[in-house]
This record gives sequence, C-alpha cells and structure tokens, in this order.
Amino acid sequence: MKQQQLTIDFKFEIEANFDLFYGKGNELLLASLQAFVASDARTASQQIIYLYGPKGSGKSHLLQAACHLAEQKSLTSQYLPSHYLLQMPLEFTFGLEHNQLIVVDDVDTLKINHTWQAGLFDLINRVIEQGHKIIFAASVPANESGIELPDLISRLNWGQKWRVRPLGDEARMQMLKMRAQARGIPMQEEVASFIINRCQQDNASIMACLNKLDKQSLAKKRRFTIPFVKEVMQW
Amino acid sequence: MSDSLWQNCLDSLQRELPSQQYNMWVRPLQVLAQANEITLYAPNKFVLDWVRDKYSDRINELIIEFSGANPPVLKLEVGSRPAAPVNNPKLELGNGQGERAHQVHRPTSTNNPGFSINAAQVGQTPPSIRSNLRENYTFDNFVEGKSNQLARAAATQVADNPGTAYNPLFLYGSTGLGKTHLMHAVGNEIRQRNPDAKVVYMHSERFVQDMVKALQTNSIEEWKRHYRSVDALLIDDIQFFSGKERSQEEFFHTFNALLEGNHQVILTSDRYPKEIENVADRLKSRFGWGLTIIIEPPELETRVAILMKKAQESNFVLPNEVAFFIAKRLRSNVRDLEGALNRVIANANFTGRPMTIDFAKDALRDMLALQEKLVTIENIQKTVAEYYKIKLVDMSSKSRSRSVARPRQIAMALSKELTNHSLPEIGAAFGGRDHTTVLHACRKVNDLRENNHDVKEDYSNLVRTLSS
Repeated sequence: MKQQQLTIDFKFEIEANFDLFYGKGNELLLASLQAFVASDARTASQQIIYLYGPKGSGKSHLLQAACHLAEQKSLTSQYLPSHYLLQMPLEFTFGLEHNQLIVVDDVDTLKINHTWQAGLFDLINRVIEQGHKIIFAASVPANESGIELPDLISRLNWGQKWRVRPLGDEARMQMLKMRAQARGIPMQEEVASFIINRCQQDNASIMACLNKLDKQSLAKKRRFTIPFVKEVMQW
Repeated sequence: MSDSLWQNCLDSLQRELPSQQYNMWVRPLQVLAQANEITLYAPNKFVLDWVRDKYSDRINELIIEFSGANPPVLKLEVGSRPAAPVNNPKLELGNGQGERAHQVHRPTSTNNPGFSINAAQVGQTPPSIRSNLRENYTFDNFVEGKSNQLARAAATQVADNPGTAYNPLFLYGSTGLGKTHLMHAVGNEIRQRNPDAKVVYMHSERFVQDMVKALQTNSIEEWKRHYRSVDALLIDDIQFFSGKERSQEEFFHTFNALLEGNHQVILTSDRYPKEIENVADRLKSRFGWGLTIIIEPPELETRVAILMKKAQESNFVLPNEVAFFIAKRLRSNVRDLEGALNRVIANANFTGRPMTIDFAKDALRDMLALQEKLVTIENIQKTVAEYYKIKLVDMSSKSRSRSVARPRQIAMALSKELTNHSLPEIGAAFGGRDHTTVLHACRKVNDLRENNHDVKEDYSNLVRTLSS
C-alpha cells in the first residue's frame, strides 16, 4: 500500500519534463512526441498519438512532459488520468476541447465503463474538430485494451502508435543517477547499484524510492550511503 | 496587478496540493488579471463549482497574502479568457498561456458547439449556424475503390441535387471506412455551389448534448427552429441515439420537417438501419426512405491508393512497394493505415534513412508483431469455427457436409490471404490435406465472394475480425 501511494505521488512530479526522461531506447519516440506538441497538425491523424508500454515504463512522465512543453510554447493543456475520469460525470469534459493539448493517461482503465468510452469518443471528436491534439497512454495497444466501443478503438489507432520500451538494468541505474543528480544528490555507483538491485524493476518504483530517500535525507541530514538506504527502505 | 500575483498563487498551490489535484483542477485554469479583480476561467460549470467549492477560499487567502493592502476581487467564470483588447496586446497571465489568448471561446457558449443561443441573448450578431464542416474532407481527396464507389456516386448526386436526389442518404459500414469523409464532402460541395446554404454537420452525441442543454436553459423552441431551418443536416453515427428516447423524438420531428421542406438529410451508422438497437421503429423505417448504402473495407489497391494520397498530402514520397507492404498488412480500416503511415513518416523524419520496405518493417515492427500474433492459422480456424458455430475439430475432420466444408474452405482461403504460410503448410494444418485442396478452396471462395452476397459479407466480417 505504501509503495502504491508513493507511485501515485511520482505520477505528478514537477520534474516530469522531457529533459529528465531517461530516453535510452525511446529516442525516436521522444523526438516524435516533442515534434507532435510543437508542430501544426493538418489532418486528424496528425492530431493523435497513442503510447503503450508496461506499468512504470515512464508513460505518465512523458504525458506530463508533453503538458509542460505545451506550456512553454504558450499552449493550453489538460492532463486527464482515466481512473480519475471514472469518478467524474461526463460534464467534466465539456469545454476541455478548447485546450490545445489533451493528454489521457491509462486509457485502458476505461474498459470497464461504457459511458466513459462514449464520453471519451465524443471528447476526441470535439478535440479533432477544434484542430487540437490529444495523446493517450495505456499499458497495451488499443486493440488489446478491452475497450469495447469500436469507434473509440479506431480513433485511438488513428495516429502514430509508439511502444514505450522499458529500460534495462544498466539504463535504470543511469536513470537513477541522472534523476538524483538533477536534485543535487551525489549518488555513488555502488549506492545506485544497491538500490536498483533491490527496488522493483520499473521507473515508477525507482523514483518512489528516490523520493522517499530524498525526503529522509533532508529530514535527517544524512548522505546517500548504503547503510542509510538500508535503514530508510528497510531492506 | 502584476503577472506575478497569479504565478505566486500557482507556485504555492503546487506546493500545497497533491499534484494530481493541482494538475487536474488548478493548473489548467485560465486567468485574466486586472487592476481590481482577478478572473479565473473554468472550461465548464462542473469544474467551476469544484474549484469554487474546494479551492477558492485558499486562492483568496493567497491573493491577499501576495497583494498586500488592496487585494483584487476573485471572480470565477465559465469559458476562456477573453481576447486582449487591441490597444493592450500584452495580457497579464500566470500560467504561460499568453499568445494564444485570442483563440478563445466566450463564456456561456462553452458547451454549445453547434447552436449558440447566447450570441443573440447578449445582443451580438443573430445566431449564426455553425456548420462544423471540415474543409479538408472533399470529393477530390476521397480515394475511390470498389468498396466505396456506390456510396461516392450517391453522395455526388446528393451534392448535385440536395434535397431531391436521395433523401435521406444513409451511409453505413464499420468505423474508419470513410463515411464521415463522404458526409463532409457532400456538405462542402453544397456550400461551394451555394455559399449561403445552411449546412450543419453534427455527431449524434453532440446533437443529444445540445438538446439537453436547450432543455435545461428553456430554449428548446429556439433549438428546434435552429435545426429545422437548415438546408442540409448531416448527423454522424446515428447508432448513438440508441436508448435516448427524448432525443429520438426530437430528431424524428426535425427529420420530418426537413424532409417535408425538401431539405437534405444525411445519416451514417456503423450498421444497417434495421439493425440499430433501441431506436424507435418509426425512425428506423424513415431512415430507409431515401437511399441506404454500405461502405465496405477497402481492397488492397484502394488501400495502396489511400496511402499514396495521404503521403502526398503530407509532402512525403512513399515508394509504391512500401505502400503495398503496409497495405497488405493493415486491412481493417483507413484510420489504421493513416496511423501506420504517420509512424513511418515520423521515423523517416528523424532518422533520414531512405524509405524502403525494410525501413517500414522496422518502423512498424511493434504494430506488425501484434498483427502477426493475431493472424495465425490456428487463430483463423478458431475464429471461423466460432463465426459459423461449428466445432474446431471440424476444421481438420474428413466431413464433407456443406455446413462444415464451406467454413473450412473459407478458413483455408483466409489462411492463404492473411498469413505467409505456403499451400502445403495450410493443407497440413487442416487435417493433412493436399495443397491442391487448399488451392481449390481459395478459388472456390473467391468465386463465391463474387457471386454470393452472404459469403462476401461473411468473408469481410472475418477479415475485419482477424485483422483489427
């Protein structure tokens, strides 16, 4: 449970920008996503991107990075986590199409809800009519998402589809060091290696560890050492 | 008031609130900061109420904290920040949304994309009819093939003689085959010939929302007049009327009024009118008064032509063989083709590599892997058996009874078309049959598809199921 809460915290980090996404293996995706936000779309197909990849591979980070980039370019944007949508009435989406960028996270979560599938379908149509853009993320391709509304699936498939490739061990370690460094935390190789070997093997869990360690290190004024990590993480 | 006041508020709220709440509710608010007041714009009433309820007290406290002696008054409104006055081009903004401020929708008309009562209420120009037509959907860029030529011909005739040729024109077929494109093309053509023609395109969901809104704001009479005064009404995906009785009722009367006045109605649906569930029979029967035409999935040559056309529109040189490669593998609908093409173009733009089949294979490898995972002989046998409600073992049994043999032949033909297996391999998978048996089955099925409507329809349904 604790782990889960930390993961959710990570989802909305201020640090979720493109500079801090460790993009090894996803270089083309990163370039395309940034170009997508920055460039004009001429056809509906150019207004949609669908990302899929396993949990913790960095999709939420990418979606928020897209919103941050939109803001830098003076474009309005709205982040929509699907599990949150499920708790809302459809009215919540009315008018959202006037944002120049909409991002919908975990869209496969909507498979359990027919009303919201139709609601999202309608939102996509409105976004396209406005000439605005929409990015989706899910753990699986649209065809395998369990979403039952074929009209919605065909729209999810309308634009570029990208698989977000999870990082390998070495890359995960580099990511951890990069993210620590960005917070001004010097992290030695063996400490990073220690964390990577014991933490769950996805970006979100690693970042949850870093968040927890960071907080404790500030509170206790301790440096990042293996004993400190052991103590905080109770490994 | 300086720009920084709202930015200071945002910074504090970002620190104080769980970031989920901040990103969902606070960050997207638009702000207009003036000397004595600060107005926050929410996209709709729901968001407005939420923000008022949950955050406005804290926002007020922050405004007072950061502005000192004479804090501006906080106002909340539905809509977007109004455009900057001409003599004051610099807007005071908090969240970096400055230059786009002129692209606004005015408060109060936020949720009324097709029908604007408020324009009249606030004394602006009389309610203008928003056509919602997409100008880039024309007959010129509609790629014609066997699967859609009838529909295109009918649509052209309707554009030539709106209200008299076929009324209503009812186009049906699976999603992503070009129904909406044709519909817009008719609308655009009507408008081109008669720029004063009032043509309205609307998705059925929006029609329903508009009506509900009109009921809520006691403007249903005006709403009715609006829809009954158009020269052509284009309603997309009519199957979404299913179960919405009041909307059906209103649509029924609108429909009758338009037809009586010889105004054109064009409807689309994902299925044959009689098969639309939970729609009143009298409405379904009226759908069939004009001309009902199916649009089928495009065949290979049309898919290639579509890819070439789309590539051309994106100023991208797509070699013929690459177009064939993509078209052979993606069969279900045009949106999938467009998605694949865009992905190939994106890869090409960033790598600068020459466009070859290998390049396309590489760019689309995840997508194709998925496709291949679905389309195996085993999967085809299972899908066909389920479709015809026969046993899976019948696919390899010796039985020659037609109820079993025909589905088996269809499964063999599908295996030949959708997989890369050779005839002997296919024969082996169907109970060790000879490759000539498979060849015969393929020819037979091809023949039947030409001459037997049921087989033709079954076959395309199965292709769609297997390759979507």
